Amino acid sequence: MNTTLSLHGVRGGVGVTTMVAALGRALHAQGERVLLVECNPDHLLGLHLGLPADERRGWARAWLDGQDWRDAAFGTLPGLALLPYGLASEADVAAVEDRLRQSPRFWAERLPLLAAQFDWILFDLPQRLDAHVAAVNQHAGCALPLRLTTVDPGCHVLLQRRADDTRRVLCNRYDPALAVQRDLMQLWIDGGPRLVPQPLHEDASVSAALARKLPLGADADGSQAAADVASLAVWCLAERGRLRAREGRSP
Amino acid sequence: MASEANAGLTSEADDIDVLREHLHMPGLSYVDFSAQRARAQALARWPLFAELAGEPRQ
Repeated sequence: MNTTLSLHGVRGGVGVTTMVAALGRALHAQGERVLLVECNPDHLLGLHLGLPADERRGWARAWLDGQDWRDAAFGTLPGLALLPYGLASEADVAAVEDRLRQSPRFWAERLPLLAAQFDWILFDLPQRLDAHVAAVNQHAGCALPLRLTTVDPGCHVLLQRRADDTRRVLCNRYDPALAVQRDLMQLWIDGGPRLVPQPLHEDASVSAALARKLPLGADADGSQAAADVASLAVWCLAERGRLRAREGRSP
Repeated sequence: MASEANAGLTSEADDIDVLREHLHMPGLSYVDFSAQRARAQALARWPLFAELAGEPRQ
């Protein structure tokens, strides 16, 4: 039985794709078998795992072209696989959104086929394609649906507007040297949204890692963000244990 | 919202949990004055945060 986790940005550009790739690698480093599924039509996730920039294949591309989505999966390392979105035009993305609205159980029906092969399935969710998001979080019953935010006033406003959203919030690019971020974090800890207890710190090595086509942490000794993501992976393993205990199963 | 769920983010809150367990007083009430002060200062520094918290601008 595997555990599904999704990352959804509070707004665009907070680093969802980068963190899905980094968390996938960190869980894999803990000995877990991980599949990363890209539901973001930007089709960038593969770059974080060494795919060439001109790779066009992906599950959405295959679906539109009437091909088998499973042929669009890539194995990057033993136990670490990737299902990219595929190259898609704006009209293609609208067509996929439409199809997912008509077939909201797209992932719910496909996940059981993958259950035996992976311990974790991580979903990279797009910002504003509701049917893309609902197919994972609602209809496939994602076990660990997380929101990703940066620690800035704009996200603070958005989080307050959606105060009824019970998903945990993971903080990215936290810079405690900045007074406004320190104060905001204080407010969030003391009565704000339900936080994942491991913020990811601002770290220039994150974007440098992508430009070098190397995994986060491989090219910068002592990278703070790499250490944060490793801790986040350990929290995810503990959270899986808590979820299973709640369901009355052994971890 | 869920401040209780976030309590584990601070080592102070962990210490208080240990103390409650040690004294067998799970209901022991504890007011974190330093956190309250930090919150008040944050709201005083940033008018937007005070506005969102529904507190008058200082």
